[in-house]
Amino acid sequence: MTAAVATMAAGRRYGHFWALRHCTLSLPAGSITAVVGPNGAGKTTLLNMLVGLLPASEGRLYVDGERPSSSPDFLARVGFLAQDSPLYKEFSVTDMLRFGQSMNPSWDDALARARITAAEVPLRRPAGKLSGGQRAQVALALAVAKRPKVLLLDEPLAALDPLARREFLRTLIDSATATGITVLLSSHLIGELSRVCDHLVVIRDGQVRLAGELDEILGEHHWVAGSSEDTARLPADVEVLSRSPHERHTTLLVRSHAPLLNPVLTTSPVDLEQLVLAYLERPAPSPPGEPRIVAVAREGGPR
Amino acid sequence: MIWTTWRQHRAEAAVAAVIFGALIAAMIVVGSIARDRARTLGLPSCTPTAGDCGAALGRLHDDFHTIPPFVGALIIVPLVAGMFWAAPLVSREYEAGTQRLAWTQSVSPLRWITTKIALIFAVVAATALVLGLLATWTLDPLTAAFGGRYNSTWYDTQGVVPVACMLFALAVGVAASALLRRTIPAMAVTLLVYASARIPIHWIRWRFASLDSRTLTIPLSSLLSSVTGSPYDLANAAVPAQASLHGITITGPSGQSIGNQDNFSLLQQYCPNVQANPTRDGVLDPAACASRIQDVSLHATVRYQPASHFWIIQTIESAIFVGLTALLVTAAILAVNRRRAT
Repeated sequence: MTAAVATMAAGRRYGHFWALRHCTLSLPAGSITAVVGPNGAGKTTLLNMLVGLLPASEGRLYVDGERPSSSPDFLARVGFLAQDSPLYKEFSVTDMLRFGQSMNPSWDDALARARITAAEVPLRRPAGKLSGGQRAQVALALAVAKRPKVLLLDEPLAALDPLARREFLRTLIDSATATGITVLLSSHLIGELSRVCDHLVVIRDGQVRLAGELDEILGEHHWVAGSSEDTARLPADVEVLSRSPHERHTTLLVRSHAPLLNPVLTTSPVDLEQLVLAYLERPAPSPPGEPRIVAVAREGGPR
Repeated sequence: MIWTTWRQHRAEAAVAAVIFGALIAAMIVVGSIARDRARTLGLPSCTPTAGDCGAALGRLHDDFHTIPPFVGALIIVPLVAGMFWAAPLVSREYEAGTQRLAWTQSVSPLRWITTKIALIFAVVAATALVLGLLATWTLDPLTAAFGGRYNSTWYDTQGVVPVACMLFALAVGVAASALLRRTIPAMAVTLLVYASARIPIHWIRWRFASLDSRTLTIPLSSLLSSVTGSPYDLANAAVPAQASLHGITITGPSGQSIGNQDNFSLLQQYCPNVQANPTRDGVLDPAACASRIQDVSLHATVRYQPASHFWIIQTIESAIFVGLTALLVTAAILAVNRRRAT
């Protein structure tokens, strides 16, 4: 299976500042990936590079097997919902759909109208007077109705209230599963994304801290509790992410590819939100500037 | 893409159409009235040298002296188009963040900008051509009364120069917009660049075609008819109608240069006793002088741009500004093609 989105040591520099560096990812076709990180982590930089709005300073990126460019052929295969869902304020919703039709030969008008109707967005209202949720829905309809192979969404939930988030995600998942497209969406918190995504990328300070298939990530991470002596004698290939020492016993968050079978230790599964926070709180894994592959997500499919 | 261009610019297009319609109506009205008036004054059949012809032109000038300021105001039309239509073209996308929407549809930014430029420039150029040719027709009966077509309010609003000005103003606006990515600075730069390119052209355009010249011999005796006049008046009168004068040189009988001095002081050099005629005001007395200056003449050369060079000068000036337009449009296209996320 080829990766729908692949990056190889991709980086983007502004002057001396690296907004993103050594980013290596491989996301299978049909996957739904959450790119999570705090504001300024490099999520927008990554998405802008993938859609070709920003040239990479180093490394390579591939979307649907092609390097991002401004060719109509490439652009037709990538749906993009930019941060803050930009729309032409003075255009009515109908005008926005007409815009999509005018700008995309592969435009699926029935799909776009169905999405707008389902989201109950008034067709005649100017885009500038829509609520944040409605604007996001219109922007999503535009991005989906061009029938892309890969859909990139930059912080689509940021401006939405909880109800609108849920509506938006439902629409997104309906569209994605109906068309089999690959989805990459960024967010500063994992929150409700954990229910919809199957791959996860955690970014902070321009570096990928964790990337992989969600089930696999959850399977590899455990809470481990035991006496301070026992927890200090873990196998060499077990990576300790956090350590909370108490008087007699210690709680660890560990990553282990093999199951932990030591009977003196109590293990329990981790919650995704806690896991993401643990990765975000960790100090940078290597001194910045050292070229190094931070993480490689295993390609999907049965193992 | 064509629909998108139309939808994004239909408001400006509507405003422009109203202004355009008003200008066309005004020009047709003024042109018709001016033609009628010129006909009643007998101007079309009158030759420039005839005496009452000058009087008729004077009447026409008096009747229509309020028109030139309005005609002159037309020279800001390209500037308005450049500042308010072209300067926001790319920058307002950046300011609203919609370039991330526009340039991620299945249309390359190259086609996005070339389509917009092609459509807008074509429409505006066609409009300017109609206005320029209509202005030529409207002002034609008044031209002789207002000093000819080289008069700058006349020149800038007639023929093909308005088209070149319009394209140039739009190109300055689009290039500033694409390079600066901010509307207000782009408008300011458009104003500055347009004005600083258009103003100096007034000083050099007369060099675009070779000047015609005419030499004339001025017998000193002919200067006796006016005390305060000067030989330059006579030379001036030799300039053909509606031409623009670009130099008079007057030399004396021995080839020495004659400065701009009045007839009285000039004649004094030949006959120190020359005096004003006691019987007729403003005229010199020939008695004291006639014999001394009988065979003495001055030689004058006048250099001027004849009215017939109007179109060649307009063509050269238009070519210069169309060339600048091409450079600026290229810069704008290259800037958009290097699209940016912010």
